[in-house]
Amino acid sequence: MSVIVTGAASGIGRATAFRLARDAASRGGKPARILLADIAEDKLAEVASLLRAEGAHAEVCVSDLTDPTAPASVVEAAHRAFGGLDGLVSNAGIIGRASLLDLSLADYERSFAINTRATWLLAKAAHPLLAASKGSIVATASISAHEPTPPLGAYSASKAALIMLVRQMAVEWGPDGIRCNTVSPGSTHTAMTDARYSDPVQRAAAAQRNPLRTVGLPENQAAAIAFLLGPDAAYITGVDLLVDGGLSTMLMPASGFGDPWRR
Amino acid sequence: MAFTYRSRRESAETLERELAARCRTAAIHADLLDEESVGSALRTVRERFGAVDSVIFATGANILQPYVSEISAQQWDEVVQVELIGFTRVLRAALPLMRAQGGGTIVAIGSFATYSFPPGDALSAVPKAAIEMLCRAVAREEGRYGIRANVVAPGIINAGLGEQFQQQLFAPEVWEGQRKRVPLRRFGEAEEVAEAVAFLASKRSAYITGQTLVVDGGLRV
Repeated sequence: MSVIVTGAASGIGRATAFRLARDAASRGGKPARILLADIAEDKLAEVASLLRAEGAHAEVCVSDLTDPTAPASVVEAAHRAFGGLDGLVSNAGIIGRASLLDLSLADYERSFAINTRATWLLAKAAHPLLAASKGSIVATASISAHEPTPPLGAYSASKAALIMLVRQMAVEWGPDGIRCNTVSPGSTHTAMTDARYSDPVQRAAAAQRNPLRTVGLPENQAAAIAFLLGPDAAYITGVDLLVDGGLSTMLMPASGFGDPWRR
Repeated sequence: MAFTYRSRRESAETLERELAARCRTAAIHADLLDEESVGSALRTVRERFGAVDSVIFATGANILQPYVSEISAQQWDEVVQVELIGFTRVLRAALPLMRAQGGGTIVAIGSFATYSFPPGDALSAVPKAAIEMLCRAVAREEGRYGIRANVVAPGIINAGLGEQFQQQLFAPEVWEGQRKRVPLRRFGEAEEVAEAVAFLASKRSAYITGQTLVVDGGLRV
């Protein structure tokens, strides 16, 4: 399996690369061929060398997805390295914290450039390769695409747009044999959320709000991404799979009719 | 792996023989209309296998496709008793066992009709929508005990009732039209639904609960 993973230097992207490498190894066939893309050059090189140590064929492509020409270069790098492509994991994302009144135009546009537009441009560039292989696309959205999450106005809106973009792809490219899905992480401990979840008090509060009473791991998201990307999901397209420990079932978390208050 | 049957004993025994080469298995009689029968089936599974790690609720009543205006209270009652109340009987038996053993997973088969309704399917779809809500309730209430509950919602599938409908209901041109509406341009296979069920029953979905995974080739979209 030849796959592109963006945002692969850390968090969910990194965990997905390892998951795909290990899934391929446990199937006993050819090692996974993974093109790792990220802006963080040093961490990217480290992930690549760890993957190679596990027997995967890992290539790196340092890229800044705010540049509209970058996605096509990432796909071209994968094409050169592997000669084809079976899967695209469009995972790179940024989170900006600002209320809608304080949000700058530049930050708004940066959120949409990376969280939304990059997936379209990556997928568009990868379309001929994926049509040839009957491959699939998984993009990382967010629980914030479903629920307003102050102060993440631009983030939430860009992720909501991403989900509809991928559903649109599912309809347009289904006849070409390309499946297109999203995974929406809930609370997940990654570099992006480390400030919050490495604080024991905030971590405990987030866990208590969650039906499964835990904060998720990047590996939880990676397992869902790998499932949707691979052949086990052959008849699944156009879905968004929330991987949130049930957080989205909590209409009134931790107050009102929350569990602790029941007689 | 244990599975239950009500009336089709021969099919159950055939399946038992087929599975025996791959795993320890047991075909157990259970009637979803009878709480004691369901409870006894679950206890038998625990006694034989030591635990009930996952329960897959795949029961569906074999029903016609009447419009809502034509459905009698008795017809509603029959399907609701078997599917919805039947599922609550399974939950009443399974949840205490799962709590006591420190967790478990529940996967129910729903329907894409909850999201993209085909006229005539209410008798099938309405109890399925209720089952979906029940799974979300279980996800919320039982998560703290390590119990997860999710739904797989199949689209048009070349197996079971789907296959029967394709042969008996509507002209071939109608089915051809439906097939063209599916973004993947084909109907699904039972195995493709099964993979989604296996995913949600396994630890690969350890952080997924209260969700519905639609397996429909994109028809709903």
